Amino acid sequence: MLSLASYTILRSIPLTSLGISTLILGVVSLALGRAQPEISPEAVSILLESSLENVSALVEELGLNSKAVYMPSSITGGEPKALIPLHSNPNPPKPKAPLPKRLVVKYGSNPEDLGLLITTPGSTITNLLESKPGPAPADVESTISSLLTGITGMADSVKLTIEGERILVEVSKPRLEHRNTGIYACLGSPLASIIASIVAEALNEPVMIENEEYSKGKAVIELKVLR
Amino acid sequence: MIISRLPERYLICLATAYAITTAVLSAFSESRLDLYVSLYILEYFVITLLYSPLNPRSQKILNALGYTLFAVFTAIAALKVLEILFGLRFS
Repeated sequence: MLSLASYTILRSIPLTSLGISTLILGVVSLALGRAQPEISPEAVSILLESSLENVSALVEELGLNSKAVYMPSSITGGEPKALIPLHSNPNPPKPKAPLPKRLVVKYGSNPEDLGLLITTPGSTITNLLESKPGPAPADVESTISSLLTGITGMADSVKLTIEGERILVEVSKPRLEHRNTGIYACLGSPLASIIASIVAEALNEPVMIENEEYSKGKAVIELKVLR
Repeated sequence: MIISRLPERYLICLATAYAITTAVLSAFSESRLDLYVSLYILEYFVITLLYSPLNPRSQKILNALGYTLFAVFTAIAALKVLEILFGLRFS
């Protein structure tokens, strides 16, 4: 309105253009405002912490010290989940047949091939995907980037490198804390868990978190594909 | 704690670019409105691309805005072409 008045009455082009730019910024602000979460980040953080505490208590009570293996939905039947072997084994589990939808599952032919099949933050976040990501590195990278930077705002950018069975994921400015606790050593941090679930789902192969390094404003997560 | 900083940075970057463009062009006493608008549209597309991907709910409105701005840009370009080809004056 003011822009129109500036053009017709004042005959001022700079003021008119300023009005047009404000109009564009207004629409952009409106668009960005729609993405504001209905639940505060603090509330989400409390819910995440409480669910992780429960899993942590269960893992500690059972004395599990094996690293979790992230399974794609084709094996778990539904959503990608993490399998924690009950017995330490140098060979990580690689189930070929679909696992039953239970907490304690048998994944191999040996009597000790038992594990806990649990839902992780990565399991639920994959529900936000419109379609299953493709196995190409660019597809995997864009899916992780879309989820972490676009939908959830957990990081600023993501870079993925695939070298054979090793996958390196560099996340800049991650906004989820990493702690040196037992559950993080077993399942990985929530950020690594999310990335591992997406990679497992995209490649349709079990994936394990090998290593996590956090420095100022950057996280490097190393995954291993169990082919 | 999760803080979505990317959308805020995007908005600040866009606002700064528009402020600089307006200040510089008016400092040179530029009186062509189509030049201002064309630059705003170009800046919008470049900065939006740099800050993608944004939240899908935001992206829907931004895409609609993009289509509108592209139509305006096309209209400006078409008028310029007509001016050059037929010597018509629209401003």
